[in-house]
Amino acid sequence: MRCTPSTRGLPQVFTLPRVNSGNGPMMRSDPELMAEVANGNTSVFREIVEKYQNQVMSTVYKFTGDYYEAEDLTQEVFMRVYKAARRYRPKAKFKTWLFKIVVNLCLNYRRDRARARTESLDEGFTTEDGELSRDVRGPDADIPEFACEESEMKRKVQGAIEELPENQRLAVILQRFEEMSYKEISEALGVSLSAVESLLFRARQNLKARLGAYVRSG
Amino acid sequence: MKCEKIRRKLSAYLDGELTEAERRVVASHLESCDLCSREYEEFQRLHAVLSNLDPVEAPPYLWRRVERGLILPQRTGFWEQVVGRLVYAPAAAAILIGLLVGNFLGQTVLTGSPQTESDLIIVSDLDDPPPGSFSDMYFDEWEE
Repeated sequence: MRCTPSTRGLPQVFTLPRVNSGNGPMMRSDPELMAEVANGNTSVFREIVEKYQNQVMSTVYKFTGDYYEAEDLTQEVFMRVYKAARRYRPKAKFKTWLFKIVVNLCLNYRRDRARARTESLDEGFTTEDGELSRDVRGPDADIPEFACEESEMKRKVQGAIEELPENQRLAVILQRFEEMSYKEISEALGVSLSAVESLLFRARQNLKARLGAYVRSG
Repeated sequence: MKCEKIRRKLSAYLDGELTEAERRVVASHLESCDLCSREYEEFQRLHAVLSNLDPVEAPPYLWRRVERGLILPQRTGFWEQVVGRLVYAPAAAAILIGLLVGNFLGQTVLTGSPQTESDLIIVSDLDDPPPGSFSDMYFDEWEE
């Protein structure tokens, strides 16, 4: 008997697009995967997590500037995606929907920041594969001495981004690093297109002022 | 268009987010205005500087964390805890019944005190064992 992805729980008006990768087997699209996740298929959810985890982690890290906070927030993002899977509608691009969750969590981040961390940084945890320990090194841990100057510039750039007001920060991160269009950013942030244009203009003005030495002409 | 309005469009111009008409107006202005042209160069340079930030990779154990986060709350939820504890109810009931029965038997047998009319008859019968029985011989021997 041939198995087909279950679409139980999704309105019948939506048809799930399939992605053909040429001569190989049919690749399942994000909406198809999410339809299975909505039915509680955690192994399919793992595909979603592994596909987007670096993009989410990178965005959240650029927003917070803290690797471990970013790790916790990324975990939280995917847990919310799983719990909200039934509410996902395929007419919305999955990445935009995902980043809307990322944006909401980032905006709540400051409010929740004072909350005591529930796990210590180097606390191990047990899974079916046994005890796993967390790598407590930061992302710059492997940068050699000769790269200090470049590393210094990266720190200043990261610091300048962190000093931006939250909406400007998110707009810059989504546009510059996730290469999202203004329309996608407007959907993720829940603002108008002209607001996105204005946010990005002001963000760049602020960044220019803070990173003057690196960007000034003449 | 005045320089101030053009400058507000430079960011979207850099991102390719202007309409064709707007794009032509901005491009034409940049060719004739040094100040706006310099501002645009700085935006381009900022664009390049931001590119120096490395992408950050998620830790290899992230899926395990997500999986654990999804599974643990289900195992320790309120109703799951209630249902989990109900498993022990039959064992607790058996122990309780055992204690009650044990207590009852202890009062009626181990203490040796007669509790009912039939117990009294049985105990009084023991006062006069049948003649020639082992008990009769025992009591005779003991009384001597």
